[in-house]
Amino acid sequence: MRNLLYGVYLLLVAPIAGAHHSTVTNFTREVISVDGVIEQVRYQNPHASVLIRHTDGSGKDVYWLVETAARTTLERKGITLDVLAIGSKVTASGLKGRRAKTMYLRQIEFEDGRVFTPDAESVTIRVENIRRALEQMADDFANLQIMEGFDYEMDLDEAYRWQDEMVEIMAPDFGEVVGYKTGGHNAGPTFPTFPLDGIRAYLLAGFMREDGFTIRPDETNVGFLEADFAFRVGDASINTAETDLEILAGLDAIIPFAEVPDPYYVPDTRSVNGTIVSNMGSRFSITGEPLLIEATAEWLERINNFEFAVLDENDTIIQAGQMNGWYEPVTVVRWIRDQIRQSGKELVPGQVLSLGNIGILRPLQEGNPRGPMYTSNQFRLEYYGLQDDGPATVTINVDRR
Amino acid sequence: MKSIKCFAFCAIFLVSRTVVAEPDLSGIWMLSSFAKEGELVMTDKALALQADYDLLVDDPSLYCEPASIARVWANPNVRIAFDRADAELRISYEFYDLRRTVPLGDESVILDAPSTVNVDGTPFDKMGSSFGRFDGDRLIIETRNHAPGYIRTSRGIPQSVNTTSTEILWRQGDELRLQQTYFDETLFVKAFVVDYAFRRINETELPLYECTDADYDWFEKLNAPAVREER
Repeated sequence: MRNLLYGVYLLLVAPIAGAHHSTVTNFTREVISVDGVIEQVRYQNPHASVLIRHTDGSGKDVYWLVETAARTTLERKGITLDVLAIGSKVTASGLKGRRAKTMYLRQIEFEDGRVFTPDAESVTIRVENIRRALEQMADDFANLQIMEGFDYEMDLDEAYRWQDEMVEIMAPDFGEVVGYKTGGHNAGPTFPTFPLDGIRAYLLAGFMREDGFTIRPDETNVGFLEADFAFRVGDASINTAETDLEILAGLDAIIPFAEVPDPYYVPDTRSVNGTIVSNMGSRFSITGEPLLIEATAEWLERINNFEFAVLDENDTIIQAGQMNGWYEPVTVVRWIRDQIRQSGKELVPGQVLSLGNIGILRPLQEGNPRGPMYTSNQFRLEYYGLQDDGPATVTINVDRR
Repeated sequence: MKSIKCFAFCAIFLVSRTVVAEPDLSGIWMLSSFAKEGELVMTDKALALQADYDLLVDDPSLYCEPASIARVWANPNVRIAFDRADAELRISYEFYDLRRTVPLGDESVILDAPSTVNVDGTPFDKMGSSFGRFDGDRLIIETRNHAPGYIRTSRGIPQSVNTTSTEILWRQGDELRLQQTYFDETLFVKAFVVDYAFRRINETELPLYECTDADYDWFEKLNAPAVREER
């Protein structure tokens, strides 16, 4: 079958323009293939290329140079070689070179069946398909419709680039970026649909609600009440801060913070990339009165050791906990700061940084895999030990009428 | 009546000025289709040079060097910009980051040194020494002092120290046209003509090309048999 396919290639191979040197004269019309491991990817002029280490029948390593167009040409077509990760096991096919162990790239097939072709059309089609998928997800989310999962293979960097685009798509409904949220930093097992070292998403103006916000369960699909903890950025120096106290100096307030995420998908279609590109399904973010902080060792101590509880409308404690042993807030701030900077952005004074769940989740509806439905009418989150005159608080009321 | 005469005169003057205006070379240009060769009739000497040519070894491109002016014009997907000054025209080629300075005037302005260097200042004698002039709506560039090289690297069509070339550039609609004619009685029975067309692209900058590792030495070493030390 493979030979048949190559025969078809031979008939269909069109003249290739854009190579630095003449494809016609440097390469034959014979299509060959070689399997191996990607050792190097060179996105450069005059030849972009992929170096593949092939192990022959005797166990000897033989290197193949799979050439493609110049970087200049690929850039003009919007083609990158980012998907060709070093260490990937692949089978490369292309026109056999007149120079030994070289070929002109036609396609690279990965072990999992994905195929890369340096072809503007295929790249464009993929990009357009992803964009359409995101638009559909954004539309479904805005209209409380169940979302299709997102099954495109990509690395985390690309997934976060699509998350950026998702936020632009959501902007007409949910407004501008007012901060960031993260999750998955607590000790112990994390969600299987989070990247292992944590996940991040945007807080948009349209998510934000004031303390005492009343939610109706039908305003979400599978929403849940979540106890969180947040800071407010006070100074741009946080972008280059190194020590914990320098980080703290870049923050000016703790914000009592509760959230109602609403990540719902067609069953069994949720994925890590889907969680990222869908902006973690963030729906409502509720903020209490900011509590001003100082960059001192004493405040660091308070932040690392405060206790908290969720109470209902009868002051009954639903669940309590302590920050010590859950995650270190400043460490998580540093993580999200580094993530934001790696993506080419900076933290800006006034932005909210939600550090994620502190161990209390309560579904708003029955049948939620995260646990039994919350039946009380109030979800009041109290933080103890952060200020001397009583707990800092944030409250969500539940309207069940 | 006087005003009518004046009107007629002025109109003719304006029309003639319009017709003979220098070609508008502003902006960034890029080859819009493959270069078209005219009839090629080579001498025995040229045929012998061609027969000796080994693309995998002799192509100057392997060393990030332009093989000839024709080779540079003919490269697809790279930007070209013109910068007109009073006494010279500067042509910037993204390809190999070449900067070609063409003094304007008669033959007396030609320099012995190559007209083309790269952004690091390395001169390229295969690009020859040029001088040019605007003639009505055409730019005409003449080039001499070529070092031996290859007008077409894919087929080893050579140039020699005797080669001269004339490049005529003009605007045709939205396109920029170039006809380059090579003269060399030692190589060509008749002048060898190559035609090019360029389109203006919606860009304003010429990025660096940064030619890197054009040869294959680094790759061939990977598969070279290990050398055993003889004692």
